Amino acid sequence: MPENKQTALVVEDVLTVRESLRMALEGAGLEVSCAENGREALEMLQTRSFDVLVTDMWMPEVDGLRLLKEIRGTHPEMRVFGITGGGPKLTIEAMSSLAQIWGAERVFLKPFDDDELIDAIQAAPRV
Amino acid sequence: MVVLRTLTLLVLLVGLAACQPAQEPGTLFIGRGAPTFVDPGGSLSPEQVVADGENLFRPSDDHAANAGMPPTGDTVFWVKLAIPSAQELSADGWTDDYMLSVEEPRIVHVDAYVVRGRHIGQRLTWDGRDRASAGSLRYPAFFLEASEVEGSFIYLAIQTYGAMRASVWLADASHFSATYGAEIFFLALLVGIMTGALIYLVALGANLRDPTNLWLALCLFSAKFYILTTNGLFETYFLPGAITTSRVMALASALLIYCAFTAFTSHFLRIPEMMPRLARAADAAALFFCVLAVLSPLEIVLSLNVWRFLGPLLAAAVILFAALLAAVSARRAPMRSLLYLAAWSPLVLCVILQLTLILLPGVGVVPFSASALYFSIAVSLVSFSIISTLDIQQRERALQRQIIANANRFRAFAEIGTDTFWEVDAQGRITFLSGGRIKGIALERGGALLDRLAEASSPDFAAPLAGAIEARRPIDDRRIRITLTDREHWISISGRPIGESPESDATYRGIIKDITLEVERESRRLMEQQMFTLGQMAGSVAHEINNLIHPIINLTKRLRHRLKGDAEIERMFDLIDLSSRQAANVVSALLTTTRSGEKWRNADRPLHEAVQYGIDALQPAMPSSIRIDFTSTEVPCIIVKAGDVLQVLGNLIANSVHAVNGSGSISVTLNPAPDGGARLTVADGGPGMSEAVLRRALEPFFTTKADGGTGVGLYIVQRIMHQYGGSIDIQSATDRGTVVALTFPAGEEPDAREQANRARR
Repeated sequence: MPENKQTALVVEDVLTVRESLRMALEGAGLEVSCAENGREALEMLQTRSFDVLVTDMWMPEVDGLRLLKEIRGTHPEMRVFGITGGGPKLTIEAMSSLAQIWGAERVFLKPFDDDELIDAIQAAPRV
Repeated sequence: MVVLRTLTLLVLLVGLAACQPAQEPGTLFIGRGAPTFVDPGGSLSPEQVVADGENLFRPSDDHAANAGMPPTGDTVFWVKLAIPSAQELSADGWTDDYMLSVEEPRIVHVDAYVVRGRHIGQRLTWDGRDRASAGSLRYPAFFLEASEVEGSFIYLAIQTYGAMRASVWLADASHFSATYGAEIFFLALLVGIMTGALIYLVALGANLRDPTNLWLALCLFSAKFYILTTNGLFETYFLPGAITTSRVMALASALLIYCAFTAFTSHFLRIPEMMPRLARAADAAALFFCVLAVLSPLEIVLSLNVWRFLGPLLAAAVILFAALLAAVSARRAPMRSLLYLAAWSPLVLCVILQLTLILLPGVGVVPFSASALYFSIAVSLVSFSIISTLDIQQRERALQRQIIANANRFRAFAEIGTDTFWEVDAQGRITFLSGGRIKGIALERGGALLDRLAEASSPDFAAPLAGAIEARRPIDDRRIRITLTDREHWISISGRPIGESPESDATYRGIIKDITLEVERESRRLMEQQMFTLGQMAGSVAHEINNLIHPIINLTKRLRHRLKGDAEIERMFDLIDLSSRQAANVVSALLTTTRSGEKWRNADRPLHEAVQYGIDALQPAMPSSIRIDFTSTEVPCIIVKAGDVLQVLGNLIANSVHAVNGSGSISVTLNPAPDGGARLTVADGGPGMSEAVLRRALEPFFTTKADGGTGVGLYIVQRIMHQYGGSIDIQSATDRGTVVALTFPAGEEPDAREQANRARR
């Protein structure tokens, strides 16, 4: 077991999804913090950093893409995973390719198996 | 034309011959060299003149014996004529008594005195104002008994209006009658021919709105009056004794001839079309002559006596101006100019001859020269009437040919297209049909248009058209669906009422177009638009539902893990899992069927639309410190997949954002490429690439991004461009920024492509 737990920030506006993700990640041994939207996440990221960021792409106030852009320069070491259920403007595919352009390692399409996300987090980060 | 010119030449020669003095047997030209003098106050009595003859009379030098005679009514011009002896005359075969004629219609009054030695014998009077007593002759003539006058002198006391040049003849009385009759016949014939030509020209000119003919008609009209008045016909036979009126008319008509001649010359030689300025000068000259014509009564009424100087001057000016116009027009239309000169030459030569005779000293009056002048005026004007008529006929024929050629051309155009052109009469029967045929509608001449349309579609469609045609209202792009066995066709009908025309009984005309393709294209676009909106909605719904399903699936999985062992609970979890997965499938199916947003991305789109879409999609995703400047000019229509362009733009813009370190402007341009394609560039003002980096920029997995770029961005762009047969070109140098230019080659015509697709279906 690693001495220092990996830290993760889950950004998701839907409570049920947020909580289920938190439980899944905590179950996998991560120390999980949660934010309801991009703005809240940015506030948290001003004071501390996380090993992993899991963010929804389509959220009110500050959405996932914007969040990715904002933190791109400030948290280069943080691994980013996107999750999305689609949205009215961009298709899921367009959204994921944009997220990848802005530095997301992978984008999961809801409903996905949380274990796949955990596997991706636990896999060695790409160099 | 050759015949016409030969004829003109012949007339010219005859006119010249007529100018030669001729001495026929039985006539004697006795005016030449006779002594003359002028009594300005008219106070001398014949007795005084006879008594003091040696001092008063001066030998005449033939030339303008009356020059300088003041034009007052009182002035008397005296001529002393010697009558040869009986022996001298009988030798020439004179058989009758004599007529002494003074051939000058401008004479107002003459007293003739037969003088033997100092004794005044017979006294004779001729007064133009009293034609009945003057024997109804158009110039003074006196019957003299041979025995009375042979070997005597005759003193003539003449009063005139202004200048005069009289030929004085002594003629055998019977010979005189014959000659006078012939003269009248000749003049009447001349006037008759001119009147005929005049009526014809006025009718023709008015009918064709042709100024040339109307000016020529005015020429003829004025010339006719000029001949009637200067020859004394007017005051002798039409309005006996009206000498003053006749003189005024003679002057005015001479000026009107100048006016009409100048304008006619300009129009006949097409000067207004060739040199508008010169034409304006001609118009001004014509107006000047017209004003002079209006002022001409002053010359007679106020006895101004300026015409004797002004007349020849103006004539010379008119001839010179006409010659100038002919010379100018000769450069562009030599044949027309030549024809003009040929037709005028008899008159012009005659006028020149007359002027020469008047101006040359020692020549004096030549008999018949006046007749020659009138004759040549008539000949010239009539020749012109003929030329002008032929000219008009020729122009009309050319116009007709042009009209036929035009009609044929438009018919040919109409046949090329698929549109049908029709006209119907008041009963709705087709009276004219041209152009292509519309599939499924059996139109034919004589058939009822609306019945055919109703058969092809439905009576409901035809009824409003019938109303519009009957009420003569315009129809604009009325669309009608025609049902054929294979598929639906659409036609568009437009029409306008026709004004009444004697050539045709059609009352309404219009066009039928086959707009099937257009309608299909339009409805497809509408459908795509609707699907796009629906897709956006479906996307939102899917997002919500996916969010709801996600925890159900994952929490069920976790619970199942915890509560392992109980078969019934396992079964419950199976059902929850199944149900939620089915819900996910429903959402997925909904997205698949309505995901026209994605369909739109995979759909063929014109490049410029796809680029605009890409920019619109990317712009909101940019940090506020980045500005994308997009400029474009019209590019050829190149069909691309919108998703490809989004991918390409996204990759390039991401690189640029990285290059400018997250702050600055990125310029995107879309312009036509030289070879007919289009060129899309993305430029940034970042630090640029070194030569070594630039060489490897397109390699897969090569990246300079310290924070972990994938290294495939440009490689993907390159691959997409290759799919389109296009190319990628990177211009960059250290500290110079980077410009990535993508060239899309010219694609197929979208219409051709569409038709190919339809054919495949």
